Amino acid sequence: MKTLDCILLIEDDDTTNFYNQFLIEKMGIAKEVAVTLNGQDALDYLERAGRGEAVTPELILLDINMPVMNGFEFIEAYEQLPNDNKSKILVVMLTTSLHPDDIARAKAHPSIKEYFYKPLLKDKLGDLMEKYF
Amino acid sequence: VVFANGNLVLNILHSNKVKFLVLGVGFGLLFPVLGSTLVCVQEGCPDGLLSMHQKSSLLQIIDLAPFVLGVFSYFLGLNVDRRLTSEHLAQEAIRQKADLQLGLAKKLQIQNDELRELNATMEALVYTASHDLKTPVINFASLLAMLQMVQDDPEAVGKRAEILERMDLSIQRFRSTIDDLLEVTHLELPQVADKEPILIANVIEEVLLSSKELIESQNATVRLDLGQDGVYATSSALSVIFQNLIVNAIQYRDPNRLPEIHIVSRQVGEMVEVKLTDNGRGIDLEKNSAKLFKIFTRLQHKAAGTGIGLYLVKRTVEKLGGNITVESQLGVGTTFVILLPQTKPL
Repeated sequence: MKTLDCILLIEDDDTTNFYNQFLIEKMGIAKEVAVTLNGQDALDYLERAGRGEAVTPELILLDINMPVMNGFEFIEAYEQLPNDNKSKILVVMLTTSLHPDDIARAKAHPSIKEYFYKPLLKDKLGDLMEKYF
Repeated sequence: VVFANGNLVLNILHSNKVKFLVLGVGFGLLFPVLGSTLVCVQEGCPDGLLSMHQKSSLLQIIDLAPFVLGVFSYFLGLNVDRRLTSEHLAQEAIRQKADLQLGLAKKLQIQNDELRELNATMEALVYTASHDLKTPVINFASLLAMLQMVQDDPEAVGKRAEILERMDLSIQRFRSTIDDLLEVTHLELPQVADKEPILIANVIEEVLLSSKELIESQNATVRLDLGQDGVYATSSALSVIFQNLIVNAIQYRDPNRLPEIHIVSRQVGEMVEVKLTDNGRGIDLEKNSAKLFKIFTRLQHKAAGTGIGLYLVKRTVEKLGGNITVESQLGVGTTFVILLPQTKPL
């Protein structure tokens, strides 16, 4: 399995980040895991990555329900960003929400390639890596 | 007398039986007048009109015409009056019924709007409940899977301890979320039907007393400058408003300075304006103005609470017939400006 340079987690829940980080490290699929706590935090991170101050992620795992800036607000801002960085970034929604509105809204965004339910499973993440990398 | 009783005169003229009586008598008078004139012209009347009337029985019968026609017309007018009155009553009844229906329709509309809003709130509640309850359960399952992965790893002793600690936290969070949600389902907006004149100072005094522990533990000071503070409200509604705003001001204090709250009131037109200013950490209104008063929304990461306080405040102010706005600067503080009706609206 390929090892990615960086996976970016956008998630406000501490334990979810703890677990996802552990799973990614255990599977050895990324050299680095960057953790941001909400959409705004993540935009700031991507801006730093654009200036070369942080590693540009190849995979983003995005939660929906977050304070300050939620997952949908992030994706709308993300889609406005200049394209040069984004072409090699894969955005996956990772959420607890089974709400049909949320699923429909996620599907309406071309930059969201997959919609995963928590918890992130080893097999699912493995399949994702095989499919896209 | 006529002028003084102008209304009476108008009323009498308005009545058809009187009008008909006058017309009938007037018309009837034409008969004896014309009859006597005709006789005089044809036969001459050397003895005067009166003696002619005494002699001629025909003229005496004709003389009865004003009485007969007067009585006849009076009863005719009475009939017309009766018909018009019953028509008028019927119309009045129809109008009253229409008014009643309009009132019912309006009441239904208001109830409908309230139900719709309640429904939207409930939907938001279910959404939040499913998310907030799922998160600790999913976390617990993830941590359990993690524990199984590291159980045979001799180097993972520290990791195992952290996992167990987090499992415990997940259970605690699950419990407190259920408690919060139960609290929200019992939540009711304060009734504002029995509004009365109230002094804001009295309500704030009670709120400060009930929040004494929080205020003292944070070394907070509350300064009051209540110039004009008589409003038309209920004390429970005002309590909800000031309790939430004061507790918020302390909870979202700036960690680098002691919390100070300044409450000023003054009269603005028919309203009383209450300004509640704090020196807390402030709100980024550019980003958050749409979310600030929304139910189940917390602006800050890891903020305590259920995200209903300001929603409740705004709804309560609006139910009292007032409105609330906010000004804020990050790192400086926040001012809530509340307008409340000063007197009972007519």
